[in-house]
Amino acid sequence: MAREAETLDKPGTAGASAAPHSTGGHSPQERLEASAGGRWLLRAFLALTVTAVVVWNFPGSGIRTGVLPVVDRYMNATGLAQNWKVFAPDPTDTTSELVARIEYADGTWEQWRPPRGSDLVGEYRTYRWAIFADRQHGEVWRSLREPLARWLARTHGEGGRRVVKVELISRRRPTPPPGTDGPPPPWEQSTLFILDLSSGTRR
Amino acid sequence: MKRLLATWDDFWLAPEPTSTVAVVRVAYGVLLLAWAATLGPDLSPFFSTSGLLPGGHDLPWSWSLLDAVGSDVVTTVVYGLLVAAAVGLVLGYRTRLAAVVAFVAVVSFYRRNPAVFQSGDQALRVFSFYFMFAPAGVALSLDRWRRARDRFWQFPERPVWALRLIQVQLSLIYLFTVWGKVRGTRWNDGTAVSYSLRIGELVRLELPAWLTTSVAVSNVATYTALAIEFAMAVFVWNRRARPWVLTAGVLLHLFIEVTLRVGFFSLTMFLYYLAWLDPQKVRSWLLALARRRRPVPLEAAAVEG
Repeated sequence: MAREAETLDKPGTAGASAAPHSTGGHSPQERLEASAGGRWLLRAFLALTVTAVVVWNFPGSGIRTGVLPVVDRYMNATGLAQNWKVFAPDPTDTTSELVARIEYADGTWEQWRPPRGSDLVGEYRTYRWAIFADRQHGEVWRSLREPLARWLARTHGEGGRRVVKVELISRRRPTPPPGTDGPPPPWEQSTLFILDLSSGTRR
Repeated sequence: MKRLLATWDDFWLAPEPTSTVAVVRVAYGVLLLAWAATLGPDLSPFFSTSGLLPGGHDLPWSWSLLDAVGSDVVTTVVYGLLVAAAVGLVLGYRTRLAAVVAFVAVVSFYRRNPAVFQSGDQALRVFSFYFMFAPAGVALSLDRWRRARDRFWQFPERPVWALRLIQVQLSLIYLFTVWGKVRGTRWNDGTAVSYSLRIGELVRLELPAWLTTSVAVSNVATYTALAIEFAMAVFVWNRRARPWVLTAGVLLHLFIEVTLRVGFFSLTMFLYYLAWLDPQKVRSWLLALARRRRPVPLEAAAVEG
């Protein structure tokens, strides 16, 4: 505290530059940091924030369950909500692809795959498509399937051709454990969602 | 109690040269510009009312300007503000305002359609909150130039508790990722890296099969990755160990960046790493750089250091 006061106020030190004549005056934050009440406020904010981040991340603890409704709101409001389970608890043992089959009223059809940019630069755009596609396979994000199917129907029907059906297909191939030889296992295919615009059904 | 409070204040509120925070600001601005540039082509499918997710995501107290108004014009306006804020951060022009706008824009996009974002974007969103509180325009900025041109190369000391929050956050990221991993199977049996490098949709640089399917190589790589992540969580706080730990962390993320398609994840981690740079050293580097271009009067550079 004294250290800062000295630094901020002593002419010719850090404080000199923050003086009104040189940098336009102390900012509200600097005034807050310099006042006793402001410091207590700051201490409370720092303690609250770090505690909230720790509690939020703590897996399944009693404390977390007890205070989660409060912490939840704080983390969402501040944009601090987080989850760091990158490749945890285990990296997936499956390679997945999302394919959409789009059928038109004239009996023709075409296939759609999420955009995949070049490895060097394009990847920084299309990784978002990749994560979106990847989430289609799981049940947690299953609510994304219908909006995707409808978006595909809309964007593919813009040229005057009428889309009658969109089928979202999941293609998956298991990754063999390390140390095993042989050809890669075959792809397994399953339908995730069908939007039938001719009959108005979806499943 | 007094002693505890003094230690707390010393950690969070002790003033230090604003050289590191200035460098972090420029890097953040550049990263944000790249993030925005890659987001631009997909604004319509990802965020418009006729896009992949017509409605927003409903979480208690979460917010997004894009949801609040629900108009595609707002999406374009917020995008424009994001780009302007990124430029503002690079230049240090109206820096505090730029940092606040950047936070609002990043959170707004993220919350509007979280399904298209992953850990790297999440790390950027979290960073944007902390950085709002950093004295980022105090040095090496247009703000500085406008207010104290004759002392542009000074780095006034300020409490940089925002950088401390970023450091603590980085430490916690690694702590909780290690926590999550050791509870799994493949990080324990040493096969996790082998599986990770063979997730078809993630592969960026395909390494030879003899390398990715080797049990021995996978064991070494898996346990090394875990050890580095644990060190980043714990030993980074040790001043002597820090350079080594940070170097190991950089190498780990370079490997991830080269081999896997992880978007802005590694680049954002590097941004967090910059917060660990010693402000005195950064100040010396910057002054040396400045002197190479134009002699900086010693008294102008040294007084506030």
